[in-house]
Amino acid sequence: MRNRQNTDEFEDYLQRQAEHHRMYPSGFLWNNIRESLHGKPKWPALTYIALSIIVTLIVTTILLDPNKNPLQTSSRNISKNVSPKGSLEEHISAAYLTRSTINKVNYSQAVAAVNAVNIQPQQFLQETIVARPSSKNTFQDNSLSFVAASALKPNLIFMQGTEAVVHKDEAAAINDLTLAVKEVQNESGNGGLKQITEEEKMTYFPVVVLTNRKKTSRWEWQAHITPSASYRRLVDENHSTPKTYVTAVPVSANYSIDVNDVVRHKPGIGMEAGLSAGFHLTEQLIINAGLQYNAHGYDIEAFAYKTEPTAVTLTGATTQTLMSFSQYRLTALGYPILLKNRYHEISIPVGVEWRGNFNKRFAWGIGASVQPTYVFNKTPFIVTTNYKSYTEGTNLLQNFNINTSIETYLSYKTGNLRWQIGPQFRYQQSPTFSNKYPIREYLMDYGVKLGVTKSFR
Amino acid sequence: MTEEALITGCLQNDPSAQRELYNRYSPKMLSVCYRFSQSREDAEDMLQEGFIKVFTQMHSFQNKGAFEGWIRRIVVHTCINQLKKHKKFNENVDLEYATNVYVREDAVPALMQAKQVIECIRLLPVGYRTVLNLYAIEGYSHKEIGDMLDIEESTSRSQYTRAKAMLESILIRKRIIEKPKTDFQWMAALKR
Repeated sequence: MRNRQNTDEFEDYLQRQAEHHRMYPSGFLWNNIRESLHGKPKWPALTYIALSIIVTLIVTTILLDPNKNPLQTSSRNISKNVSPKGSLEEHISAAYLTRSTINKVNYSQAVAAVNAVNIQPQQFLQETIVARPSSKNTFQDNSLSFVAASALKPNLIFMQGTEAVVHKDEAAAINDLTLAVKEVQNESGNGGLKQITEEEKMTYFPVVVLTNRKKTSRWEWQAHITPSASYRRLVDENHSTPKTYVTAVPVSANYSIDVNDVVRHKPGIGMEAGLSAGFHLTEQLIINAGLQYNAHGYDIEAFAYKTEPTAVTLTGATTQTLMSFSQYRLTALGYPILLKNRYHEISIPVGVEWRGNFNKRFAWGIGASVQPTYVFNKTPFIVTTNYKSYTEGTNLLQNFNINTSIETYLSYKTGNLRWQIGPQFRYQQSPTFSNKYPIREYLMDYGVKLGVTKSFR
Repeated sequence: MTEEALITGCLQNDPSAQRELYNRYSPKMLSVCYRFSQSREDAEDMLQEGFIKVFTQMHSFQNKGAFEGWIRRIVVHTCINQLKKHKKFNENVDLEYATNVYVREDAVPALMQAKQVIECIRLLPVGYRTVLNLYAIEGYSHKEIGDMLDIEESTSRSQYTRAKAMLESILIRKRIIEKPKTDFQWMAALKR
C-alpha cells in the first residue's frame, strides 16, 4: 500500500465518493454462499420413510373408516349416516334408531321388532343415545323411572313425534333419573307434572339404547425410557482417493481403503427418556410431540502414542487444513486405550402413531417421528483424514441435527394407564460434524422402548 | 454483535455469525466489486467468491489491522483474479479518445453524487478502470498494481495518468465537477 498522504485532491474526492457508495446484493447470493460453506440440507431415505409412514397412516385411517372422521361429532355422524329407509329391525340390528324410522311404525310393530331382535344389554353400556320427548309432547309418569332402571334394555318408552336422537353429551343424563326427570319437568313449561292420558300412553314406543361409547378425552400423556445400543456409520466423501495406510499396505497400492475397515469402535450403552403429549385424530391414529433427552455414544479402540502434529484436510469451496496435536494412533503404536465419544442431546420428537386394539386391554402399535436435536457436549474425537490418528473435533461438531425414529410395540391397559414395550430404531440424518470434514459420521441407536401412557377422560 | 464476536463465530463456522458478517459488509464490498466489473451480475459473482474466501480463510486473519480492510483486500484480489481471466491490462487508449468518449445522458443516473461518480468510473475502459480503482481508491502503489496485473510499473503509471484524465473529462462533461481554474484546486472546483 502506498502512503495515502501523497494523494491529490482529485483522488481524495474519488475515495470519498467510493466510500459513500453502497449496493445491496440479491437475496439468493447469501444462499449460494451458505451452500458453498455448509452444503445443501440433506433428507436421506429414512426421513422419506418416516414421512411416508405418517402420510400413509393418516390417509388410510381416514379412507378406511370414514364414519370416524375426526372433524365430525358423533351425533352428526349418526344423523347423517343412518339411512331413514329400512325396517325397524334393521335399524335396531345396526344399533341405530332415528325419528323417521320410529314415525313409520306403530306401537305393536315396534314391540314386535324389539322382541324379535333380542338385543343384549351389554351392547349398550355407557354412552347412550336415546330418543326423548319433544317440548310439545311432554309427559310425566311414574313410568319415567324406567328410563333409568331399564336404560340397558330395549323397552324404554318415548312419545311419538320425538326429536331427533339425543347427543351423546345429553344422553348421559338419561342414566341419571334425577336429571332426566328434571329435564322433562323443565320442558313441561309450568314446573308441574302432567298426567299422561291413556291415548298418549298408546303413542309411547319402545326405544333402544343405541351406542356404547364412553366419552373420553382425545389427549393422552406418555413417559418413556429407551435403553439402547449406539452404533455409527462412517462415510468418507473422499473415498475414491487412494489412501496410504501406515501399516501393511504398500504406498504404491492404488486402491482406496474404507474408513470403516480402519477404525475400530464398539457400541456404547445409551438411553433416551422423555415426555410427550398425544392427540387422537381418530381412535387409532395419534399425533404426538414432546421433549426428550438422549445420551448415547461409542468407544474407540486406539493406541496412546507420543504427542505429534496432525492434520485434518477439510473440503469445501477451498481446501483448508485443520492443524492440531494428538497422542492417539489408530494403529498398534504405544499402548491400547479406549476413547469414549459421548453425545448428550435434547430433542423435540414430533410424530405419528397408529394403535390397533386386539381387545380392551391388548393393543399393537407402530410409530415414526422426526426429532430436531441440539447436541450440547463438546469433546468428541475424530479420525484424521490420513487415517493415522485421532484428534479432538470440537470445532467441527454440528450443534443442530435431525434424527428420525421408527418403533413398534405391544401394550397392555390397566385402568387409565397403558403400558408398552417394543423395539425402536433411531437414525441421525445429518453428519455429526461439519460438512467440511470429509468423513461423515451417522449415529444409529437400537433400543427397547418402555412407556406408560395415561389417557384423560 | 461485536466484531470480535463475529470473528469468533465465523471461526467456529457458525452460520448466524457468518450471515451477520455478510449483512454488515456486503453492501460496501458489492460497491467495490461493481467498480471493477462490467455488470452487476459480474459484481455479484465476484462478491460471492470473495465472501467464500473470507469465511474459509478467516483463520488467517491476524488481528493486526482493520477487519474491514482485510475483507476488502480479499475482495479486491478476487475481483482482479476474475478480470485477469478475461482481460489484458496493457491496452492503451489515447487521451484524444478520452476527450471524445461518448457519455449517454441516461448512462449516469441522476442519483446521489457518489453513484454518479461510480457510474462514470465504470465508463472507463477496463484497464484504465482497474488501475484507477486500485491506485486512487484502494491505495495500492504502482509497483503493487504491476505485480497484481502482471504489467510493468511504468505501464501502471501511464495507465493511471490517462485514466485520471479521462475520468476528469467525463465528470466535467457530465457537470458533476467543474473544470478547475488551476491545477491542484480540485476541492474548490467540486460541485457541492
